[in-house]
Amino acid sequence: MIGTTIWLTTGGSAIGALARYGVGRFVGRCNRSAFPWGTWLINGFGTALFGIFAIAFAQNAPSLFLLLGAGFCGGFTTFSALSLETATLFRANRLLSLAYLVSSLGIGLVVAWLVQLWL
Amino acid sequence: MQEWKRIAAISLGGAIGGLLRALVSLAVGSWGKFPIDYSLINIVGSFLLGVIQQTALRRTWPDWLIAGLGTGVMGGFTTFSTFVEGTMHLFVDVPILGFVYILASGLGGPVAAWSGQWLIVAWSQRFERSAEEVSA
Repeated sequence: MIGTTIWLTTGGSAIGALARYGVGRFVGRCNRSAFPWGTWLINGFGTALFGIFAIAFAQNAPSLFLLLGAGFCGGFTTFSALSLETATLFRANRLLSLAYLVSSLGIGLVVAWLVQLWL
Repeated sequence: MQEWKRIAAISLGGAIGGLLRALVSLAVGSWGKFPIDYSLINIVGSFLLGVIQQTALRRTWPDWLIAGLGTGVMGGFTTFSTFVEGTMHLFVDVPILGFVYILASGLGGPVAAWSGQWLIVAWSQRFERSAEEVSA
């Protein structure tokens, strides 16, 4: 059982990381500001998906939740990029850096809460 | 060709990161209701990404290696969605722990990333200085 948990998370994370790279590059090409919109959107969207998968599959189909939730969404969303971008941006523009950090955490919580409210 | 190498490295790195996340989470678990496992994962991963970024700026690492280690391994190891979901549940169950969790990760992550960057910057300056002394 522990073996299955690990392999489903591993496989989902590989696909999630690749999807993050694709979305990040696309948003990066469109983004003309210093604000890291790529990670911001990825984390907001991935958190919404995680909430949906948790409600849909966590009880009924735990393996599917491991693959899509802990795996895909876990690998798609990222905390280290948020941290690094906040730290790097802080040197250039403190206000923007704080706005980025606080709004990332805020949008994540709001999105997760809305998903739970609606589903 | 270069792009395919990067894509392969990010997928493999993402798998390794996800595997490490699952293993650390299983090994560490939580302290009562507090997700100490994901706190550690996100803070340590942020530190390491800072180290990787600054090291990559100073070494001639190939593109695929930087992408594989940063976007792949550290991106896949750390996670935002599980963190937010955990925060939300903690806010409902034990509000004070919810605040501790979001503050510890939200401040600890960026400070850890900054420390990782600083460590490599300080280290390389020291190295450059001693190289100058030798060559002078």
